Amino acid sequence: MVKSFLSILIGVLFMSISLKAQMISAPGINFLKAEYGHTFSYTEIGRSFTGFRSVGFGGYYFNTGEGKSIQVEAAIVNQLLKRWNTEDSQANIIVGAGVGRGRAGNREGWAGTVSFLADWENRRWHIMLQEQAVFVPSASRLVSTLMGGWAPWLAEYDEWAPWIYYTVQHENGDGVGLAHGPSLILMHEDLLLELRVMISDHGTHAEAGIRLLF
Amino acid sequence: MKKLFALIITSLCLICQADDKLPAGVKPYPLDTCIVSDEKLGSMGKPVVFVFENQEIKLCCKDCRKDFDADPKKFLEKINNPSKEAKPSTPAAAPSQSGTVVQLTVDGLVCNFCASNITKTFTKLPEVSAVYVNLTAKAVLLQLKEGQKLPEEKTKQIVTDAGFNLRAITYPKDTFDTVKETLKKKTP
Repeated sequence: MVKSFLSILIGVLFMSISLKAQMISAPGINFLKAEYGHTFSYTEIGRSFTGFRSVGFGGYYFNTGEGKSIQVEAAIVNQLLKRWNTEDSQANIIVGAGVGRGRAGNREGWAGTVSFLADWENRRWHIMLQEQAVFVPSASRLVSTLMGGWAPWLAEYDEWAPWIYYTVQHENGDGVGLAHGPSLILMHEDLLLELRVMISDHGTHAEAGIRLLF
Repeated sequence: MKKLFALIITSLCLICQADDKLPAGVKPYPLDTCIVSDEKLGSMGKPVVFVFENQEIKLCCKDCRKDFDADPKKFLEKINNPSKEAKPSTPAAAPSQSGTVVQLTVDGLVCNFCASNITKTFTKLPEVSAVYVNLTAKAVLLQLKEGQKLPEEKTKQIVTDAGFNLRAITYPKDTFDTVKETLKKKTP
């Protein structure tokens, strides 16, 4: 109960984009995924009902400048379309969709989200491509993220596992445009923490993320 | 030039012969388990094979080779007295699962969250009292509660439902903690 409360609290405090792992766990496991970015923040909290599907609630926030923003809160379903397991690696294709309410400036109405994620990883390397689209009355946003990660040493589940990533991200519309930068991810048991520096035409900004299984 | 060519051909023949069968006088390895870790051969990847004092030796991994080299006589005893020390390679009766340690080798087990999913999944089972996951060995170690059984079909289904593939199930004769420590030693 305390763990669940803390997870929700952390989710409210930190918001998200594209952390290393996916939004689908084993059956009966809850997850929290939250990331705070310069122009785009995102939070999703949910539960995996099978090893191939999760249902949750997500919030998207886009800072579109000049005091304006796009916000969406939606119920989201993520579906693992295909997984390849080998002795030393795993690859996944995951899609997600959500329906909820959204606001763009002073307009409010029904909103939708669509996401696509493909990744491949072994214990040393991880490559991930993610597309996240948000549709609100009179506006839409598409965030494309490409991440490549490398583990400087191999750590076990009960040890801190470090990963060094480089991220390239593009946000359409009057958002940040193209941004890129390095990030450090630390994983320990059920927790993942990410610190990222993103460089764009708008300057250099620090971003942070967290993911938790409970 | 001809001599060099003949030497290369002869070397290749010897290498091919070494792959196919043992040199004369070398006794074949009689077990289907590693004499250092007692793991089933193949459960840790391709076995390490070599000849020691005219005895073919097969170990589950490179780390076991270091342990073997440190005290070969201790481990050769397992070959010389298989009834005392190790399982024979002929198929034996299925081991009793009651209160036993079960080791699963799982494909796709590559990251912390994979380990977390598997740990949480098996921890929820009433039959299981302890779970340890080793990513290096792709191993999931289960301690069953006294008198409890975990059928292989159910185990396979649980692993599949969690999104992974079960490659092998073995029943180490050592205690949960001993096998756990052995697996930890294999971590680079």
